[in-house]
Amino acid sequence: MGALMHKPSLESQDDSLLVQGTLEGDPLCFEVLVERYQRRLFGLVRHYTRSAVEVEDIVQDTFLKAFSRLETFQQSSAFYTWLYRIAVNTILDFMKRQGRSPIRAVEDPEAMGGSMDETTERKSIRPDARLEQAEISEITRSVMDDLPEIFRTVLVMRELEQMRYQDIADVLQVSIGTVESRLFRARARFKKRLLQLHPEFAATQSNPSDEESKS
Amino acid sequence: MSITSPIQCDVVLALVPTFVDDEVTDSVASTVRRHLMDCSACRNAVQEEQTLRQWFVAAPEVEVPTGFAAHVARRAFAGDVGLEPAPAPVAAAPEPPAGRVLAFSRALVAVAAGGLVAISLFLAGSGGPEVADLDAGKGLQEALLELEQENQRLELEDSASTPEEGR
Repeated sequence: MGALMHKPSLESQDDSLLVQGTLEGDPLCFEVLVERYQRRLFGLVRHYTRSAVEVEDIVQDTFLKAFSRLETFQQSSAFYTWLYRIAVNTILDFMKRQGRSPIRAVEDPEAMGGSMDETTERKSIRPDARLEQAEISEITRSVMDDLPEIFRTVLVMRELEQMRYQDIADVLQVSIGTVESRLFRARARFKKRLLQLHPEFAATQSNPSDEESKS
Repeated sequence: MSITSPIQCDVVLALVPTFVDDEVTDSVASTVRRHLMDCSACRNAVQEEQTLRQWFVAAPEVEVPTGFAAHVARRAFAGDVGLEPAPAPVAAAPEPPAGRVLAFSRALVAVAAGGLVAISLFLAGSGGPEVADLDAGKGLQEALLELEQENQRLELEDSASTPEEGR
């Protein structure tokens, strides 16, 4: 990047130039990179822990790891995808360290899948119209806390972070087909657990032919 | 499902999640939409898929602490590499066979010792068996009586045959 630049001019630079500047030893370049993505990482991490201190620690750890591995970053891929992958691994590592990983050793979530019995499948479950957004969010969170990590991660990425399948596949280093399959199973597991925890929101779906005969 | 529908319900149902996620190509999306116009069962499946997504609401914005980026950059350039990865969980090592044999022997000895103590306490509590109470004891008593009688007889014979000292 040559001579050290001022922060305002750096803010308009793209990621690859900031990475290059960081590698050349300019702390401001890295600071701008952190500023650019810190909010998104805070948003991601808070889906995994309710503690603000832990969120800050995990995000900080993610950036420090990214810095120490910056030389391995391939400029051909998106910086954020690369950073996100480090963040997900840091989160999982943190949870493992805390003994809080929802992955059960005896359970192979991929194999178990999210199969539902017919009764569960036929039940519709929607948030009550009187619920505040914060209440819905809290219910959703409590259900997701119970899901195996492999399912929670795809749900967070897709449903809460609004990531495209391709980006999820890039972060998790799996195929798009695997993302689709995991999402399908994750949603099935989510619905099943939601029905178990909050049966009050369940409504049995009416038969389509009944609906047609009524109308 | 309408007879004129160009694709089958099972194909559409399989596509529902990706269709709702807007992850199908434009041509697939338009084919699915045409099918949905004629098929209430598949429309219901789409509605159900959309209903489930209502649980995922946007969470409030996150507050990032002031000066966070500068603080992280300082730490990074100071050589802080963050926490080391968590060590892999160590599986409990299986006990070697010799250890298991030893443990079994110890358990066996403990059980045997306990049994002996219990028998001793029982016998002490009941005062212990009399020799006369036992069949084997009766035989022994008779033998002792015989031995005593034999000794007395021998002593008598002995005293009869021996001259008096001092005579």
